[in-house]
Amino acid sequence: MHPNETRIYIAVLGGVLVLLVLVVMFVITIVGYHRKKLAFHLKNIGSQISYLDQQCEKIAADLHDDLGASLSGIKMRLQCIKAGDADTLSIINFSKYHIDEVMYKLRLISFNMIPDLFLQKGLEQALRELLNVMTHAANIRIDFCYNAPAFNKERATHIYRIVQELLNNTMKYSGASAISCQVRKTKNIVQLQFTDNGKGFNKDAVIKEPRGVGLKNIMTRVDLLRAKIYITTAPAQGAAYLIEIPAL
Amino acid sequence: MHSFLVSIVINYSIAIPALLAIIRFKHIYRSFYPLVFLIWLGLANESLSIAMVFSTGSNTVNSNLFVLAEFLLLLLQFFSWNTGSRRSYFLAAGFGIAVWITDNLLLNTLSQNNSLFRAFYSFVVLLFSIKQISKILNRNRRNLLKDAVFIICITFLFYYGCKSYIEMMNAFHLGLSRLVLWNLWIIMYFVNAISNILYALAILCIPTKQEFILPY
Repeated sequence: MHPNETRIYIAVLGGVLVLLVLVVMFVITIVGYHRKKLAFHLKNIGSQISYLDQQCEKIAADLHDDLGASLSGIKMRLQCIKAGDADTLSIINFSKYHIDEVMYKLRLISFNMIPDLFLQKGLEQALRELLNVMTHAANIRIDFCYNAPAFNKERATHIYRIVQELLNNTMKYSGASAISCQVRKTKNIVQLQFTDNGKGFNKDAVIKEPRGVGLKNIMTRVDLLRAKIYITTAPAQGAAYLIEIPAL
Repeated sequence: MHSFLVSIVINYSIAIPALLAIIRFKHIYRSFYPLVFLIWLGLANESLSIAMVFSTGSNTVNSNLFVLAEFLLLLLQFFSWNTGSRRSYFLAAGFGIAVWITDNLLLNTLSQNNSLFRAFYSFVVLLFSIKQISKILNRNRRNLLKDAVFIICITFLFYYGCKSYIEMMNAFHLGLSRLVLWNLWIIMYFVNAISNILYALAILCIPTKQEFILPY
């Protein structure tokens, strides 16, 4: 090669090598930055969720222990009243009915606010009760199956809250007549599968403009569990959520 | 002849991702199909190029046609990764086709080694890759080094960065000797081989189903 051509060739080769180094440096910087951002995000949402859960537990415990006990006492006293006439008996029965209704609602609020109380019986029993209580008034067919190992309190709370939020969304928006909730362990992951036969939704539109906090709450808990979520849905085709939780 | 054989062997490194794509095809999420088709098309073009070199002495006609198909498939790939406005993709495709016609039919002929369109589309792919990487950073919550889209976009940055650089040199017709031009292409062959290995890695990382992710 002519000396000038050699210089041009070396310059081009140098340029390519510089580009290679730049790309490698770019990848290293970007991966490092992303890891830090992810760790900060998880720490941030972790402390927020933990604080919220604590506050909920406090309020729910007050409601359950004080108000629940008071209502039970009032009901017992009403049962002790010996009614002289039909009108009084009707008022007593009406009051007892109302107290039962208030106690049911109180139980529902407790379910929503304090999973810990119910998680003492184990996640399986807590989810079963949650599904029964929340679909009690609506005419919804439930298919529940649980075949997974026990989780620690923190992870069980996240799973409980995820199912609660999914159930809430289904009850509020989907108009479903059947719900299926399956928790299974396969290889190194626990699969939580939640499906309904409701009206479904446009996934792309939700990603573009997330509305409400329900799905965001689910995503936050999914992140904290280091799980993955897959959603299969379309308008008028129901919704299927698959959450893959790494088994520890 | 020896360096020609070496270049054939290096260029056939595209067979690695092509083979992996065949093996994993049933498990590859469909939004990656344009890239898979591009890799298979690349392998077919390599084989056709060798046949053309031995039969007619030049592979410029099929290469000039291949780069147009490559550009359109890459645009389709970026489109299938993103839902939203199609305007920018149609605009880029329309402009690209116009540049290809100008370069290959109006200014030169298909039988010449034309660089204007190659430099142009490399630059467009670089722009789309940068945009895609910024989207990944905003949405991804997993290890970036296992993210197929991230690996592919980084490969695009490297490969099309080098390609636009070398094609621009070629476009200016600096009057370099055949030996220098050949050595420049040898650099590009090695860049191509590194990119093919990265594509193979990306093929292995392609998920079977699309994870649901909301932006931060």
